[in-house]
Amino acid sequence: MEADYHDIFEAENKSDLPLTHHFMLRRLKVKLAEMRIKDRFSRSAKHQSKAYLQKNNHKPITGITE
Amino acid sequence: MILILGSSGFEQGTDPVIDWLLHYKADFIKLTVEDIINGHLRIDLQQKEAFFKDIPLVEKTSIIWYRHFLNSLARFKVSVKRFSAQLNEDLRAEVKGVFEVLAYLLKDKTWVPGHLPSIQPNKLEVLLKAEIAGLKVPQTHITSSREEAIAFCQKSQYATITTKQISDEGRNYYQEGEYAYYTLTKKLSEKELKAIENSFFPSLLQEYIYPDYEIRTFYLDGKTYSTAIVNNKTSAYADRKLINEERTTHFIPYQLPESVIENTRRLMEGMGMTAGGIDFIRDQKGDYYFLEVNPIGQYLLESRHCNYYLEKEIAAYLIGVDTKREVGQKTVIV
Repeated sequence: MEADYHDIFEAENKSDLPLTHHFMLRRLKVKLAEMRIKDRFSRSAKHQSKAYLQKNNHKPITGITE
Repeated sequence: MILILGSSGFEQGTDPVIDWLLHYKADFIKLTVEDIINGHLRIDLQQKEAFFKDIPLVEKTSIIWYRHFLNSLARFKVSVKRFSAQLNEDLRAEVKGVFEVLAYLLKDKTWVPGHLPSIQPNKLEVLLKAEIAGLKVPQTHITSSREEAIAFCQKSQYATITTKQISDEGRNYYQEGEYAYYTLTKKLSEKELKAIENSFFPSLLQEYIYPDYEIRTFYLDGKTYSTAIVNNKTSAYADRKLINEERTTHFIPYQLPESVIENTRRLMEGMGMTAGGIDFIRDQKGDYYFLEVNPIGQYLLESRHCNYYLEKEIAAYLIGVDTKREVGQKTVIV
């Protein structure tokens, strides 16, 4: 991935920001694993999870809900 | 019983372990911030007990796996017309207070990756402790002065420094439309430093270690699982997350030298950490530099590439502590 740096803050605020925030990386949200909050796979009332979600298909779950 | 302090939505490091817990028919529940907000947790201080849907957590729990529990608190919001910002800040503090008392009641249980203070350790404190444990660490400064940054850069062995966030607690995505903006470790040359303002918000600077390759080590209860991240590009990168998806990047099972493993073990045990993702750089002279440990770090990428099945190892460890039984390939719970 090529580093795609952007200035997202106003120039006059630069001196108020840490150096990390002078170089903000930009990426499509769908490309960021942490932001993939979809692909509902199953629900598990038994395990007290309001919305148990499963993205990876390496180990499908069946028969876990009560 | 295993108590997972997690998030109600998908979390890439939690869900694959839950798959294995389900497979092994382990006795576990997952508690989330939403459960507290929705009133499913009841605490009786006289009884020194916390009830989650009538399950006595202190009585039942033997091991706790903390995994991004408090992260979703930032998204909690009650919609009111007036004083919204202050009200929500206060309510979030109340929820945090409930969590803190729950953690106190459960303080004598086994915690993974560690008890509360070690879940988000201070990066610089960890660096100092790593050095004491015998690991090599990069020269590190915190400064808000451009001149000091330039002087540090000039003295650094590759005339280059890096900057990254001091705390991971506030590290988040700045979202706008279909894009997210975020920070990773950034390389800085003297030329770039000369182009910035005279002063800036206090920032963490480290000497740049030119990598032969990086190593990600997953540590679990004294065992280490290492992956070399090798990239045959000629230009060096500052953060391996930038090269993870490149064709020229290879993930290779790796054996750290015994002395580095021993020092890592000393560090983790000294900090009371049972698990964590640890980043090393092996420089071109063959020295190993400890960069940081992320107790709630992600591990799935390396696990998949190296066939470590860390998600299964974590599940087996949790069940092992809970039931005092070994699970895994040799023993299958039916």
